[in-house]
Amino acid sequence: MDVGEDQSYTFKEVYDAVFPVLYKVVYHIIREKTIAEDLCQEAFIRYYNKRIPLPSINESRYWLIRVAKNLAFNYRKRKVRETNAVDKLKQEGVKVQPDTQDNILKEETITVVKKAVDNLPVKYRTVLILKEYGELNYKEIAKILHISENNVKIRIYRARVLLEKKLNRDDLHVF
Amino acid sequence: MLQSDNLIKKIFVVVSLFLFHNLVYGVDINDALKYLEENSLNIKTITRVVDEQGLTIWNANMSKITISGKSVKVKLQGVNILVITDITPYIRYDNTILLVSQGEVWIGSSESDEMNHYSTIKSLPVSMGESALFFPLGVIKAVDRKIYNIELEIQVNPNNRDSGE
Amino acid sequence: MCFDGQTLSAFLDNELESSKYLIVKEHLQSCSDCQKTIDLLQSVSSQVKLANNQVESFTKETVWTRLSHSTSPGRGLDFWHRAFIISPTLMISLSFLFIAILGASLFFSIFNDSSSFPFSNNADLSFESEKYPLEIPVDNVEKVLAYFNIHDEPLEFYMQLPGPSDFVIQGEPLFLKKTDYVAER
Repeated sequence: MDVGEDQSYTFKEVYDAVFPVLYKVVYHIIREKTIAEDLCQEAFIRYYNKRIPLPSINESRYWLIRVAKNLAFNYRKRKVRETNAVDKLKQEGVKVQPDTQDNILKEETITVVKKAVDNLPVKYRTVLILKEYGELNYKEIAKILHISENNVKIRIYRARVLLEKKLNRDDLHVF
Repeated sequence: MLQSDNLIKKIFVVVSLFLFHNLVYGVDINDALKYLEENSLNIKTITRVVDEQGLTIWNANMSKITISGKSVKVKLQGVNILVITDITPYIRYDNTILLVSQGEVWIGSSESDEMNHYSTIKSLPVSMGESALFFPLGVIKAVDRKIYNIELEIQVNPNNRDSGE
Repeated sequence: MCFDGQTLSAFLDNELESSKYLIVKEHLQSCSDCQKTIDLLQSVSSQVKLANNQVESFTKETVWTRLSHSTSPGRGLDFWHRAFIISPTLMISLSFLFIAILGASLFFSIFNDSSSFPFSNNADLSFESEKYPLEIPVDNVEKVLAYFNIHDEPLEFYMQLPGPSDFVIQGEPLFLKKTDYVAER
């Protein structure tokens, strides 16, 4: 949803436009719903308190995603020292509906995929989350991370290659 | 016939140098340089000599491409003075710039045989495209006689080819 | 002529220029190797997307409510209102104290560098890039570093100032925003 260059826009407009993607990105970095809410709130508070306003909603979006991503990774770093990451995933748990074989396999796939994504090196994980969950294009990801579009392309490719290796080690139901 | 032979030779030399450069240094260097170029900053300075009325009697423009943390030096030489200004831009994650200005002034009088050396360091947060002024000699206070002063206007912009969003 | 993995990955994401996109698309019709790569990348991408969660609009509303409370100006008014009811003397003496501190720092700032305003944020003047470094993609670190070392030149600009008069030190060097300087004059 491209909102273009605006001269004046309200805080609520930015919030409505950016919150969905922000929450998705943060959640997929830390995988805790309540904390994800807190970190998104923190990012918006910092945005509200910024002295120098940004020129457009898009620039605000990039700024907010950048800040929220850093908050999320910092949180994860602190948390990983405290608890075992794999245990956390099991607790987080996806509700397994006791019906079709397909559903059970799908849930298992999701857990394995989440674990595989979690274990990617940070720079590959970041671009992958921004692309597949944040649904941002290469240009937007480049602006958020302050890297070139070419670099984004390379990292996404390498992330996929690494994931493919991890996922194909296990027997998985491929959709 | 001889002229076109020479031209062809020149083109051949240029092309093979280019290829050689690429071969020797490889794609890696070019990729790295291209990446740096995409993240580089353009520092523009306008040096002005201003009189006590505030009128500009002389100015010089300079523009240099650098990266965050790499300084640009402006050297100004006069009859009795040498001003060296070292400007370093630091880009922050919210795209604002911390500008650090280090000034050295070697100054003497054409009459005496003494020379002084002054040094200063100042930092200032600015936005992209916002102008900052550096006065290495300070600002003129007395306006009852003819005095000249030096001011440096500094502006930092991202080094993008496409100015659009 | 086959394409490298990055190009195919970008093709999948619809990030290729239209001319290149068409070339790759046509090539895929006759190349099973490239098609296989695309299928593999597509499969990874789909699996990753499976774990996508829908943002409940209810979460969005919850966080917005919390935000409005912490940022609304009404909250500030409430504070003063309460303080006045509880203890007017406390509020008055706090105000005097505040004015005294403000006055004192203004007084001292006259003797110091006139460019430092009371309550200036010193965090503004520090910088570390370690959190947000430039991340340069290279395969051979040693080679690139050696190249940079050889080619690292100082960026300098040299200019001669007009004569004949001598320049004189006017006072403390000054570094400020142009808008601030113009306002002062």
